[in-house]
This record gives sequence, C-alpha cells and structure tokens, in this order.
Amino acid sequence: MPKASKCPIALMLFWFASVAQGQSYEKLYSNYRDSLYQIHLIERASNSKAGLGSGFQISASGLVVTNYHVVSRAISEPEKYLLKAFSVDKKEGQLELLHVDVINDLALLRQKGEPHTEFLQLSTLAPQKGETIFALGNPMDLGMTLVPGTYSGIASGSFYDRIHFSGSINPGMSGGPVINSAGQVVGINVATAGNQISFLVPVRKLATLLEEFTTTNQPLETKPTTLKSTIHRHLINNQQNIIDTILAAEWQLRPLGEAMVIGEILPSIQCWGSSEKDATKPLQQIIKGCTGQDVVYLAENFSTGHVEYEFFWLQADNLQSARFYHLYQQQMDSFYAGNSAGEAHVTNFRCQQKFTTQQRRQKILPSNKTSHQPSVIARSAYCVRRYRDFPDLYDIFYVSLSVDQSNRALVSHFTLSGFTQDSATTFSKKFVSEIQWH
Amino acid sequence: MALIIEALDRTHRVQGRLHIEGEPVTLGRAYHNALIMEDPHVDAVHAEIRCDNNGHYILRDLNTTNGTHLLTSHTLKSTAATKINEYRIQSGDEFQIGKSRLRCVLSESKVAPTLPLHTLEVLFDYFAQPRLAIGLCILAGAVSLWLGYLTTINRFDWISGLELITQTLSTLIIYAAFWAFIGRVVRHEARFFAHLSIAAIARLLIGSWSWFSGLLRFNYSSLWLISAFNILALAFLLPALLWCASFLALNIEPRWRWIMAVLLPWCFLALIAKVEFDDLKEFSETPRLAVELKPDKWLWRKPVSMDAFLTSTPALFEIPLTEKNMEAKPSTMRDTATAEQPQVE
Repeated sequence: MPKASKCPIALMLFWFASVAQGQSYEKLYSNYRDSLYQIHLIERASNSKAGLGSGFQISASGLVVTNYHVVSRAISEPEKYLLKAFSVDKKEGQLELLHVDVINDLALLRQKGEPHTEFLQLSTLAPQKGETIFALGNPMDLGMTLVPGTYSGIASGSFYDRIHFSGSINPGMSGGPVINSAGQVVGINVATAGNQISFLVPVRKLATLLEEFTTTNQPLETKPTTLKSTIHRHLINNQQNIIDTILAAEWQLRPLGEAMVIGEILPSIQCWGSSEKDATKPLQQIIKGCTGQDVVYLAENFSTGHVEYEFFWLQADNLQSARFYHLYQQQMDSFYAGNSAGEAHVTNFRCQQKFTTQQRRQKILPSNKTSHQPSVIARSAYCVRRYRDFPDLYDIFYVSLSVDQSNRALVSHFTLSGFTQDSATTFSKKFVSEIQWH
Repeated sequence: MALIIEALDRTHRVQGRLHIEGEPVTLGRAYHNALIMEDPHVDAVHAEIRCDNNGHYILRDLNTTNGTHLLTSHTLKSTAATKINEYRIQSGDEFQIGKSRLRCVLSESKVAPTLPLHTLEVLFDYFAQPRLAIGLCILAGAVSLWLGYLTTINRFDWISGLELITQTLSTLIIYAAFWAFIGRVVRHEARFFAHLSIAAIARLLIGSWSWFSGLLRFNYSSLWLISAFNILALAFLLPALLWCASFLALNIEPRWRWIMAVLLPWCFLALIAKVEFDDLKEFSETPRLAVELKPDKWLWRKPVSMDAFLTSTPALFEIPLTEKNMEAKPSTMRDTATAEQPQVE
C-alpha cells in the first residue's frame, strides 16, 4: 500500500509544476506586453509600411530600443520614410531617432508625445548557461509572441559578442527584447541561423549605448551630422580592434600544394577547405579559405567589416603548359569582393596590376650550401575602393596568381572591407610575407 | 556604215552578233531569218531592219504578238520602255523583243577607254587557284583544331576535333559561296576559290592576332589599351576583307568600293567601341582586372619585387570623391541638414 499511495502524489507534483510553469509564461507575457512595440517603417508617399520590426521601452521617459537594420532606411532617407511604434493594444506613436550602434545593430529611439508608463529593466548579470530565457517580438506580423529558449553562452567564432540562443527567432522579431524569468532584458533579438539557432546582442552593449547617449544627450534628428560621425567613429574603432586582434594573434600556416599558406588566425575567422580531383579532368584544384563570420550591416546593399582570404593550388602533371594555363585562366577569370556595396556607397575599384617577384625559401642542402631557387613570379593586383560617406575607410582587394611554373600555380587572395589605409598596409605586408613556397 | 546587232539572252549575255552593211535583214524564231533568236516569246519573223535612203537604219516591228520596245536610248536618255512600230536606230539603243534584248551599235561608235588591270588582279588570280585555296583552308582548319585542343578543359576526343574542323571549313565555304552568289546576282564573276583563299587567310590572321593580343593582355594590364588595340586590329582587317570581297564580286567604281569597305565596318566598330568604353566607365561592384595568364616565358616586362609592389599601393588610396558623382547618384547617408536630397528609387 505505501507504494501505491506515493504514485498519485508524484503525479500531482508534476501536474502542479507544469501548471505553475504555464502560468509563469502567461504571467511573463501579460506583465511585460505593455512595454513591447511593433516598429513600422512607413513610406511617407504611400503611407504604407515598408518594413517591420520589434522594439521595447526601457525608461519612463519613453526610450525605445530596436535593431539598427530595422530603422536604417529611415536614417538614410528621412524624407522618404518615418518610424512609428504600435503598442500591443494598437496605440500608435511616432518615433524619433536618438542614437545608433551599427556594430552591434542597435538603435535608440524616443516616442514623441506622452510616454507609456510601462518599461523593461535591463539585467546587469549574464544568465547561466542552460537558463531558460524568453524572446519577445512580433514574427511576420502575426502578433506579439513569447518564445522560450535556452541561453547557450556567447557564440564562438565572432568578432562581436553574440549570445547563442537556442530558440526560434523569425523575421519581424528583430529588435525585440529577450528577458529572463525575472523580466529583465538580457539581450536583443538580432539574427537567426535557422533550426532553433538564433543570435542575440548582449544587453551590456545596449547599456554602453545608453551610457554614451546620456553623456552626450543630444537627439540625432536635430543634428544629422552627429549620426554620420557616430557611425564613422564606431566603424573606425571596430576596424582598428579587428586589425589589432589579427596582428596580435599567431598566424597558423598550413600546407597547400607546394606552398605554406595562412590558416587560422582567429576563431572568428573560420577556415574551410575543398579539393577537386576528378579522373576525367586533368586539372587538380585545392582551395583553402578563411572568412570572417561577421559583417556589419550599414544599408540595404551595403555591408562592411569583412575579412576574408583564400588560396588556390592548381596542378596538372600530365598537361602541356599552354593547356594548363588556359584552364588556370578559366578558373580564375572573375573575382568578387567579399562584401556588397552599391554605387551610392562606394567608388569604383582602383587597381594596380603588376608582375611581382618573391623569394622562395632557400633549401638547405646536406653540404650546408643553400641552393639558389628561382623566385616566384606572379601577376598581382591590389585594388581599393573608397567609402563615399566615410572617406578614410576602404575596401581592399588583393590577388596574386603565380605564373612561373609550367603546370602548377598558387593563387592567393584577400579582401578587407571597411578598413583604413594604415590597417590595410600593415595587413598586406604581413599577409604576403607569411606565404612560403618550397 | 555598218551596224552591229547583238542579241542578248535573258541573262544579258551576248547570244549572237550580226554585222550588216546596208542590206535589209529580218530577225525572229524562224530559221530563214538573218538573226535567229531562241526565245519562245519572239515571233517567227519578228522585226525587220533596213537602211533608208539617208543611210539611217530603221527597225520595224512586223505586227507581232508581244511587240518591240525601246529600252534605253543613248540620245533620248529615256529609261521608260516605249512600244515602237518603226524606229530610227541610234548607236547604243537597246530593244526588248519577247524576253530577249537587242543592242544595236554602229561600227564607228567609240568604245570606253581601256581599264588598266588592278595590281591586285595578279594576286587574286593567284589566290583563285583551287589548290592554293584548299591548302589554305586545310591550314586554317588545322590551326583551329590546335587552338581547340589547347582550350579544351576535358579530354580532347576526335569527335570534337572533327566538329571543330567542320565548323571552320563550313564557315569559310559559306563565306566564299555567299560572295560568289552575290557576284552571280549582280552579273559579275563568281570567283569562288579566290573568296575561299581570302577567307582562309583572314581566319589565319584573326587566329594570329588573337594569339598576339593574348600576349598583350598578359603583359599589359590596361583594359582600355587592350580594348582599343582589338578594335584597331578589326578596323584594319574588316575593311580589307570587305574591299577584297567587293572587288571580286561587285563591279562598282573604286570610290564606292572604298566607301563601302571602310565606312560600314568603322560605323559598326565605333558602336562596339562606345558600348565597351561606356561599360568600362560604369560602376562595377567587382574589381576590373586583366585576367590573361600565361607561363612567364611570354613575359617581356620586368617584374617588380613584392615589397616594391606594396610600397606603391598608397597612391591607390587617393581616390577623388567627385561632387559630380554624388549628385548623379545621391549617397544615402549624406548630411541631410545641408542638402536637399533627391529621392532614390
């Protein structure tokens, strides 16, 4: 009998637990729903929405936070777009822009008129790994939702800290808050990689932005030049951080054909490799490349902050030189910069293309004499394009194609986007000096 | 004064000539005529020509089914065909009889001055040798086969080789046949083999130019220069080709031949040049680079050291941000307080 009496109690406990959890979800939502907004990007001419996002209020004075990418069009074309916030009970209010952080994709706005009384507190502590946190937002304009998921720590492989959130964030939820069970904001919805893998901006980035704003305390809309210079300052600092980290890191070399090329530098620049060896094709090609995982979104067709380098080894042992070079040329006849940028944002590339020589590594013979190795001759190109709005930032493109061997070749390439001339020069020197031929 | 009557058939070739010295003659289909015509539209005895008291030759239509028409008269300068019954012949008159023509010339008439042979005639006659033409075609086929072999990615099999040769040869033959046909249409000469030789030579020239321009593309990086060179090469080759073709196929005045041979290709090339150079000026999201790759034995420029290459890069960074560009394509993140921004579509 005692055994039999235990079971119902256990069952009842489970039942209570699930009820309690269910209630807490509902409660969380009902407690904080009034601090949530759907942000509408409205085209003035047609008075219809051109973009949607989510946002939340963080102070009694009516400060609202969302993603930069939700509001970017209203910043670049203020005469064409305006921003409105809709509360859960469909009350509408116009928004003014106060401050932005393009690196962390954050925008700080204020609701004009009488502010709502409800707002969210910012958490000062990071959640525990595995802790359940709740993403709020309005996915695909379907209505405000609460999505529970787990905090999985700071995602590795990124220049900028991003919280890895195991839960679904969908389009439209961008800029919505992620709260802990105490209702404090721990992050901001920003991106998804599908399959319950989502990324959040940690709340301390917002705290920094807020601090920066309160010290200057000047609304940007009254002084648009400040906005540009703020973005500019962030971009300059960001590229400096990236280049400093890259130069401070130890560059790993990895073999590729008869050369040693650059492999891992930083975990945030992820490396991959592939090779093509097909019996029907006389040409063997091995590719190794590394790409920075983060891009800074600036406008619809303009991203920056990209670092990428790639190496190709081509070899065809039983092929005449003329045929090999023809295939080689076919493989390498088009190049792309890693980031996207339109005519409104950047100039055309300006290139310098020359034949270059580089010393091969000297072979040490047993007799302690060094054999004289012919140097590597390559067709190298260095291209630069300037940012129209940030004239000391550039996209830099480098490619070098070796032409000194009859049926093998090494191609090395890098792209830096949004870097200064100094950063580019330092990086280029280091980059070309690291590659070694046998 | 003697009169020469030339009977021309439907293809305007002289079919027969009659030399008369005053005695009356008849002409027609019947065999007793002095000039027998093979045209079914001509009456058995169609017309009569006799000399009147003043020594003028008179043509008289003998009340025929299809009649006799005066086509061109050197003295009247009329071009409209007029039906005639009885007519006093002037030297150079042409008559339509059925579907045939008669040309009447007085023996004293002047003939056009002798045309000197063009110096190139000798060369074209040399080209017209079938053996040479076929040899050149085979050479052109072999060259395209060799180029095809060099530029194939996968294994080169005999079928694709055959295809290449057939393609090259058929292009040459079609070219020659086209001009030979034109030559026939305008009632000049066909000269098929001369056209064929010239086509094969042009193919070989184009082949060697593309090889040479490959070397230029490899050694020099200026895309402008390379485009300009290619267009320049075509600006010589195309007029030369067209000049030869029109010389062989068309019987037009040298002045018109030059105008046609030069103006036509140049207009076409100017259009191409404009499109190409405009395209080079346009904004491109990708860097524009010369992509020709060859082994360094074809390199005739002296390479620089990588350090020197990198040391010269800072100059690249001084890209002017022209105000003109900014107006044309408004930057979307401009200082909005000072400028009235046009809307971006």
